[in-house]
Amino acid sequence: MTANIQLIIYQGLFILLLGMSLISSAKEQPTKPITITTSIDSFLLPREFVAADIWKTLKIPPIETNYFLFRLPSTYAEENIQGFIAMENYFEQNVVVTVEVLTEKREKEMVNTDSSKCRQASHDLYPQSVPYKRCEYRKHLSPEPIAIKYHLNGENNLYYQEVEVLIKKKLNEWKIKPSND
Amino acid sequence: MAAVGIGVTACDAKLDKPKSSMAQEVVELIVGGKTFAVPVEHLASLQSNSQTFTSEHKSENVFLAHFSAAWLSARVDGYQPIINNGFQGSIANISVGEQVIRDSARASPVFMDLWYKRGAYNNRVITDKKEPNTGLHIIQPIPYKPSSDHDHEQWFLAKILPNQKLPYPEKTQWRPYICRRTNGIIRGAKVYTKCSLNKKAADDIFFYIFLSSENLTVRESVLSVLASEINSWIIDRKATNDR
Repeated sequence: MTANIQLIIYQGLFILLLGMSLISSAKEQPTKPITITTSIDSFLLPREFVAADIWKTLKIPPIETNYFLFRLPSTYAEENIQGFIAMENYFEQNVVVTVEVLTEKREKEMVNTDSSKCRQASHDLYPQSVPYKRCEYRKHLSPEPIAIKYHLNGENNLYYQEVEVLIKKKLNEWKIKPSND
Repeated sequence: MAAVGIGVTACDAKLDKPKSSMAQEVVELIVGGKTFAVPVEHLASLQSNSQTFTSEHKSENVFLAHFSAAWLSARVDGYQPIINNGFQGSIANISVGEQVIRDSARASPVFMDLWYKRGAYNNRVITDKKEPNTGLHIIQPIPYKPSSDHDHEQWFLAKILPNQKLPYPEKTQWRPYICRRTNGIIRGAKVYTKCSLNKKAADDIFFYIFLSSENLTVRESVLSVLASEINSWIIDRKATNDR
């Protein structure tokens, strides 16, 4: 009888501990950075920079790809770029960035890319949206085989160079340095 | 019936190589008599039995391929990878083989009814406004009724207007884009519009994708990039294609 009670207590404790560890890992997991491995480097992307909100709450395994997206949150861009406006035209001005690790062929295609060129982008069809200047920019982050593409709206187009510098800075920060072991 | 073969291999023989070595894993699929070396990142599913499926003609002549928002954004100028806070990207439904050629040559009963203003499209309306991103004519199946809930609203986009007094253009195969609007499930997204687009990638390879209306301006580039990518996967050189 006593042995049975002890067994029940031990089982109960085991279930409690297991439950607590599962809950704590479930709580921790979504806030962990996302590891993206490309053919040249790996990047550790903090959750606040994931490209769409829904990803912030998902458990995401390490990703192996030469194409990925991230965003500079509007408030982060406003804090780091003088003049950048976080909210314009009813929209948060998050900057969505496409990163491409270039193949040899693609790198040749990107050589003469004019990073100051505004490619007029179409507007979304959200009911509240009104026409505004929306530009797409591309930049080859030479000498690295990495190209970026991003969109800016309205007055924020004035700061495309600063945005470009910020994107480059973040990518460098997120790069996982090879250990010397 | 065509066999479906699946095998994962690390191969970079015919794919555009990255500057550094990350082995490009591919899965070989035999579909409609052709063998495709599909890069793993473009697999719509990692489960082999759900990668290909049979059409109504009971042969394995259809497979799905996934193109991420980032991949399409990098490859296509003007493609917007995030819209209404949601990822874009496309699943391409790819049909291959002789039967597909015959199927594609047949006129679609839906589009014929739409052209002749009959059947389910007896009350179809051509709106005054054109679709803002494409300049294409909007054809509503029924007169538009304003509603706060646009869920499952459907319409067609066409370059050439239908005319029931003229014969259906059999040779050019009048095929308007079919568009649907649904309420988004992602926070902050109010409406979500996608249109179905078709493309012939080779003599016996056809595919369709769904594209958000905001990305319709670059539809030709998207279709062309996808057709070229799908063709680059063919490793059965005996098969005919129009590259």
